[in-house]
Amino acid sequence: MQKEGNFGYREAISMFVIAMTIKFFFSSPAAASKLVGTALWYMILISGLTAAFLFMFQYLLLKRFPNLSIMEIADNVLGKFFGSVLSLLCCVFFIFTASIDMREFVEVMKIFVLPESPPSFIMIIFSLSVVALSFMGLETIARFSKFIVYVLGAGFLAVILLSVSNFKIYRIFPILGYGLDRTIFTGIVRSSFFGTITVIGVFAASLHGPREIKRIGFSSILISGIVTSVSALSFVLTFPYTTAQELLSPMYAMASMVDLGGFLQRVEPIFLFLWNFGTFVEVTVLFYAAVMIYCHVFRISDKKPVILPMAILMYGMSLIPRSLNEVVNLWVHLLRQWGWIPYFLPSIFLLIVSKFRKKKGDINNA
Amino acid sequence: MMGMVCLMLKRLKRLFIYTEPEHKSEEFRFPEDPSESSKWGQFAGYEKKSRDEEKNNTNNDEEQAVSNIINTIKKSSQSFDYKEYQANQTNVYNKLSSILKTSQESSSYGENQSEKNDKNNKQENSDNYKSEPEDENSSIRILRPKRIEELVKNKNINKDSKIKRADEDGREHKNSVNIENNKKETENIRTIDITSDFKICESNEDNKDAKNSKNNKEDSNTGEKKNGGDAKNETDKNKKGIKLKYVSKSLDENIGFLESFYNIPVNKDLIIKKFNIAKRIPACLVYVDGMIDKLIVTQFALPQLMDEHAFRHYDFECDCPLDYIEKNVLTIHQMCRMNSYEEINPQIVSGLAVLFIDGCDECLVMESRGFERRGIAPPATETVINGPQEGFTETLRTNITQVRRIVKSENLITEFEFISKKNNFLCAIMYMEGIANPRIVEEVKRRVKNLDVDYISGSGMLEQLIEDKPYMIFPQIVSTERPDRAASFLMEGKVIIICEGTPFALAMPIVFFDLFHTSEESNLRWQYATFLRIIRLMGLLLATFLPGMYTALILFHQEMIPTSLLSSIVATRVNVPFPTLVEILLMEFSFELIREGGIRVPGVTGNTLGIIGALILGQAAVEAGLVSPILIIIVAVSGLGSFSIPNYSLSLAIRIIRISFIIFGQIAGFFGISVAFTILCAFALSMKSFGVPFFSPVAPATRSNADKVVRAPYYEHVWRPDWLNTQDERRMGDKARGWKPDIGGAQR
Repeated sequence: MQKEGNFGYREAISMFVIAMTIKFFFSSPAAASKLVGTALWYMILISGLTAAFLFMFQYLLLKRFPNLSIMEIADNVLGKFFGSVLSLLCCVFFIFTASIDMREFVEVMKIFVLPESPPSFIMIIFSLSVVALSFMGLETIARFSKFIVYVLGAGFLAVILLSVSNFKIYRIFPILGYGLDRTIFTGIVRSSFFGTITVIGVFAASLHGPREIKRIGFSSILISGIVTSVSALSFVLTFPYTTAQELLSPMYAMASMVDLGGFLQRVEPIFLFLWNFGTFVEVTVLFYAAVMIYCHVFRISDKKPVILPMAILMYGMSLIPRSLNEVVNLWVHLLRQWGWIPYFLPSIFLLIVSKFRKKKGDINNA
Repeated sequence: MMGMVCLMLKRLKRLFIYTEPEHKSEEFRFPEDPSESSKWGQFAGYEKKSRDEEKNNTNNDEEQAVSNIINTIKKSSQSFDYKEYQANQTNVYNKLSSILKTSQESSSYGENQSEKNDKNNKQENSDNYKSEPEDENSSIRILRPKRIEELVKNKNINKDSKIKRADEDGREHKNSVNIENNKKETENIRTIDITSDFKICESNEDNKDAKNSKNNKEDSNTGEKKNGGDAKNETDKNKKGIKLKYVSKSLDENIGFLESFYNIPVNKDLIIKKFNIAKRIPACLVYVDGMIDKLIVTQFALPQLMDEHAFRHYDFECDCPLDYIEKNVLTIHQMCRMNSYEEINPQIVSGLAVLFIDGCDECLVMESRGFERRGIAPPATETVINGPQEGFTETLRTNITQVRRIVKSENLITEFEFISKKNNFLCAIMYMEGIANPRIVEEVKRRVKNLDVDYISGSGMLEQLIEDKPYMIFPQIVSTERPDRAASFLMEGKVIIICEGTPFALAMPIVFFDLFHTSEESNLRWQYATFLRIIRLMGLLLATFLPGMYTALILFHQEMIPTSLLSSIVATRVNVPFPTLVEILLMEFSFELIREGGIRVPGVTGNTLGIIGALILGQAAVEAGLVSPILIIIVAVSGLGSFSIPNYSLSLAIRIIRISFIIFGQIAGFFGISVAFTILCAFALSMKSFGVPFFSPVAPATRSNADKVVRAPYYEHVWRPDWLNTQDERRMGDKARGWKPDIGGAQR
């Protein structure tokens, strides 16, 4: 097992909460709003519940193989070859998700903040922070998350509270949106919104046992579900759902509408930092998970030489989409709609196979 | 009847008529030399006793027996017949040998020397007195009479030796008396008494010494006693350079080693003061001139050591008097015994006096440091309004005392360590036993002990050598000039290193908040302390981000600036020919230049230069159209913010970081600043100080008191820092305020 350093549950919860909630600050709310209308805010809760349920299988798997990462479990259950194949598929998925998230961020940045800068330039600078965090290791990523979670929390609260004056209660109606069945179905399908939590399986060796994994996993889903749901509710209250479907970044738009007595206006700089730091964490978590899997499969003990090539690969993959339209309507939509398969199914599959093959980890390690 | 009358007449005649004494040797005369005062006793009617005999009455029986024998021989010598004299000598020989055997063995101050002298004397005398039984015991020699020719021959040499070696050895005083006796012996052989014979033998020894002293003038001048040809050989050996690892029993070897080790006489700093302990035992005191307190040496070391009276209870039969000296003679407060030159040499160059004694394989290291030093003054870099006004000085001992004055605990441990090879730089490692984490203490000691550096001149150098990550921009060890702050660090469970020659103590391990806090906050009520910290945090953030933010706003995010302010900024920047980056870097550089110049220019002039320079330069720059007025405000505010940072190293780090934020702000606005901040955090968060994460207790989150930015009342600071893993986790009880509020007082 590769030594990655341990970190506590607070750091882990901060890391996963940021990684999950930050997606809501981009194009996802608008896309979801198109599907469920005004029912967006509780659809997210349904997604959260579904994600928690699916995560339970991963927890059971990790409990069955205490203190082992998902890659080691795959090797154990499926054998080295098939285990490595499964791990590599996860690695490709993580790096692809990271590159698409980065591209989405870059496109949004280009529209709102840096219209004259080429996307590649923004991506290179972005990659710098991802590489720096990854070079310092998982412990540093977790600490960074813990360090900025206060800033992000304060920024998030500030944006929500300052936007209260723009809230209109009637905008929440029709409360069932396009229908309850559609809301529930969409909520279940879009459980991939919380799929980042499955990365906990990759980092399992750095956490303090299955009990803490359980605590971290469910707490993270709960907290991010609440935060996202509150954001969605405020977003629904601020914009008519027809308008909301057209916004690329409804939260940013909400922040720019703040105007309190003429002296407190345009607080989007606060939101901008929230945006940046959150995305750095999210992309780095996925990127580092991919690096860890890759290093595990090819038995590379030192990750540092792998980080820069992998960052270049991520940069290259993020250049695949030709436009913002392709990013949002194709790739992000695909990831949200079908992402639950690569996120949750491998764990369920491994659990079933391990039950059939009666494979178990060393309980004494727990 | 007639007979009685005749006797009376004879006595009457003696009363009135002067008759010459029978023996001129007993003629009364005043002693010409004070050293002859021992002879005075004979004429005053006292029993002649040696100086040792007068002082040590423990062996009275033996002495009495000796004096009886001497009287017997005296009587026999009055009617001198050589055969009769020889017969008497043979009779008393056995008695004397049994009595004087032990005393004679110890009477000489060096066993080896006496044996060598005995052998020499034997060789000289063996030609004349082969019939006498030969015994290695030197006491036998006492009874050997000398021939007149030999005595005459010795007389002249002894005169020389007397001049050269006067006032050195008590026995030599007797020799001068014996020279006078020898004069008499040349005139009348019957005047020889056993005492003079004994002295003659010793004068023979001295005769040899005198010869040696000719060979080695330096040694004879300082009273060093040499043994025949051996001394010459040793001297030559010393000049070649002896290599000793441990203290030798031979004083000459030790001196030789020290002379070669310290390049004497080329090196004039080291003093080797040679003298005789109790006028008997050769010794030397070694110290560096200027590093010692001369009063200690001249009043509390040398007089006591040279005084015979101080050794009246000392049994000179013992091999080494160090123990006796340490316990009974020297009144110096701090002494220790050492035998390894690896330990001794650093002590010598640190200003301690070291006593080497002939026959001892250990030396006595005496605390005698007394070089010029600065007095205690208010700290220059950590001034406070409410709190102690004492700062550390350059003197290690004073600094340790200042800490001890605050932490009056038996658990405060101070360990000393030499940390550089060439300049023997001493530092003290201090920690609280029972509080500090032993692993941290061991780690600090491990790092300090494993340094392989020639030269260290202060705590700043040491800090760079023992910190975890030298390439990190933030300091990983905090230095403080305040004893009260050092004491509080100790009580928290940290380890303190105080170096000599530096008025700063290093505390480790640290976290960011140790650099952010000051000692004044502990002395203020929590509301005021919290207010000060918030102000300071604002200053820190402004110093770090303001210029970069300004650059980003001006270049990328103009829409975020209120319209009126934006128009004002644009209007002032119309005449500025430089891009924003050049403009702001120009001003930053000017500001740093003024600050650096203000620090280097001494005294009041420096402050004046800082203020006047900033005003004039800023005003002139604005009028010349080089910079915009708003930028002057930005740079001034960020400068003030950096002044509010209490730690100088952190302040410097922030100044450097500020420039990177300006550059990243120029490149990509707020996004660039976010990236720069993330990179900075990545490095800072991975940083550890002696295994403690730098941003504890925030990241990672650990248990802590409310004492990061907002400071809770003091009685709520129950816990010691969790990240230190201290042995004693609590610093106060559950009820720190044992008294109940709202009870008692004037109005119940």
